[in-house]
Amino acid sequence: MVNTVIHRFAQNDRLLSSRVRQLADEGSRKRHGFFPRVLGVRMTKIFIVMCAFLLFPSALHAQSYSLSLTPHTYHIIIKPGESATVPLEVTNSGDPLIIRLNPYMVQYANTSGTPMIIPYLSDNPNLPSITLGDTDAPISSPFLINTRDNIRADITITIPEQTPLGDYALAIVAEAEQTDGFQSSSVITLQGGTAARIIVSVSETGRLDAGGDVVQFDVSPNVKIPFWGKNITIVTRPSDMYFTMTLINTGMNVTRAYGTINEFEIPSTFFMSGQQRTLTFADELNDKWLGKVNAQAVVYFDTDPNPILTEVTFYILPLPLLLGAGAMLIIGLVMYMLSKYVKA
Amino acid sequence: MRTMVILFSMFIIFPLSIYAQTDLDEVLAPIDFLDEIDTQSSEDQQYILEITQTDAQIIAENSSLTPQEQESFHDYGYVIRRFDDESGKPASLHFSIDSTLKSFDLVPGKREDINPTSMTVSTSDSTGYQLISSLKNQLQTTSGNVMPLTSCNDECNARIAGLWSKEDAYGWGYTLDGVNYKPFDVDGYELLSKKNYLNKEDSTTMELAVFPSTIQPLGTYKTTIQIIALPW
Repeated sequence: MVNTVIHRFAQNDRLLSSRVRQLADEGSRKRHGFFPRVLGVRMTKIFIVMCAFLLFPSALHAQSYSLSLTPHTYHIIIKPGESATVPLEVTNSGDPLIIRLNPYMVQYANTSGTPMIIPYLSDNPNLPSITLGDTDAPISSPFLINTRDNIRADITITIPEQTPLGDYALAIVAEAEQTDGFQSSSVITLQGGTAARIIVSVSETGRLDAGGDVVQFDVSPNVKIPFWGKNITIVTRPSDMYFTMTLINTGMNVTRAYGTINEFEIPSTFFMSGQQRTLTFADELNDKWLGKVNAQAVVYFDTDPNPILTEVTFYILPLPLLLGAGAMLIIGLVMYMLSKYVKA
Repeated sequence: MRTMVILFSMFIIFPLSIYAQTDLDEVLAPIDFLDEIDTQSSEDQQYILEITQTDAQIIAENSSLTPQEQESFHDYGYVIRRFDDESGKPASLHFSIDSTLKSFDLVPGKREDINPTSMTVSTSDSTGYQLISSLKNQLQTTSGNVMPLTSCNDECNARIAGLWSKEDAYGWGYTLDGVNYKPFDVDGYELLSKKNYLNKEDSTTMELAVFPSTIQPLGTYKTTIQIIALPW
């Protein structure tokens, strides 16, 4: 990969210098044709160099950022003392960029799952190290990625023998290199980064303590009406309706939750040990606007074949519709009584 | 020919007996009836093999690895789980920012609402995302003049947004809804937006505003805001 990157740089340099030379040659040949006669050879060269400078900053000083990382998630279960290599593909669909693949440690600070990322330094001999391919090269070497270019990077995770068993949530972020360019006015630079998540579970046996539970499954916004010892859930604004599901990891290792709510597929969600996350689902499940609805959730955790089943039953009674129907009924009744009165 | 047959048989039997003896010590020691096993006879070989298989099944049932993964873990020392989209290809995360350079003219006492930036995230499967931001350095000149972050009308911070309309509320910040403003977080990362699933793509619009005070020193102010899209 490093060789590829170096090769790319060299190639870009060669291309640029050969293009400049080509232009210079063309300029020299055509200085009595394309270029004005008043420009001598020296002036022509200066002109070409200026053109190159004008072109070059546009390549370095990108105005837009548009990067994809494939795949976005790996889960590696690995023994201490072993190493595993995973490919990561970076695709640029925006302006040419100089990017770095920076490793980060991901920490989930609170129960809402908001992540905090910390630059990951592989200098601790007891922690997993991240390198490019099977080289000792630091992963964060900068490289140029042109528009519509795909670059494959092989990321090697090495687990030293002394690494404590457990989970390590890492992220490889393809970050645009910060370039000040030639701005003369005040400027705020937005430095984009696309992350791929690599969760590393260090285990001697491959046996992970993975498990989870559904803490809550409900529909919102709702009105609870007590009726015969039960609470009847009524949704009066179906257009604003959404489901909430809170899941928790009850195991000691990372777990993955997936499943269905009726026919809607719940996307895979990772939970670190003890982490609780609330998922919301809106329009995907909101196909009814009146009547009784029963939403059944089937949630699987990791490879456990036994799902957790939970359901919520509610009635959709849209308030504007009810008010409209009530008003129509009253108007009809009044009209009927009036007609009777007139006839009488 | 007879010698060859004997040698061939020994080659087949020998590794089996070694394997059984090695595993027996580790795996089957707690089982009482082990003492009754005579590892020399061929009948017992079969018996031992059955017990070993049963134990492997127990390990597989208690493990979070599938039997195939268990095999891979023992052979290579690791298992890699990759997450694919519906077409069976590796699922990708795409993040774009339509404009990464937001330039502005600094006029003391004059508020400038910089044109909005659109940030779009999509995944090839339905995995959601989280968009986080962090201020890498203060908005300042090379000579060290710093423009302070906004505290809105009264009090807003990196966690809580607030209205920012007072004529003397100087500073700089951003809004995601066009109404409530916040300063960026200098100490860590702040969540800009999130979604636990994605149908197609999701966009977040951010508008930066700069309101230098009348005594703000003139100069070329620069800063960098890091914005990272993480898979949910």
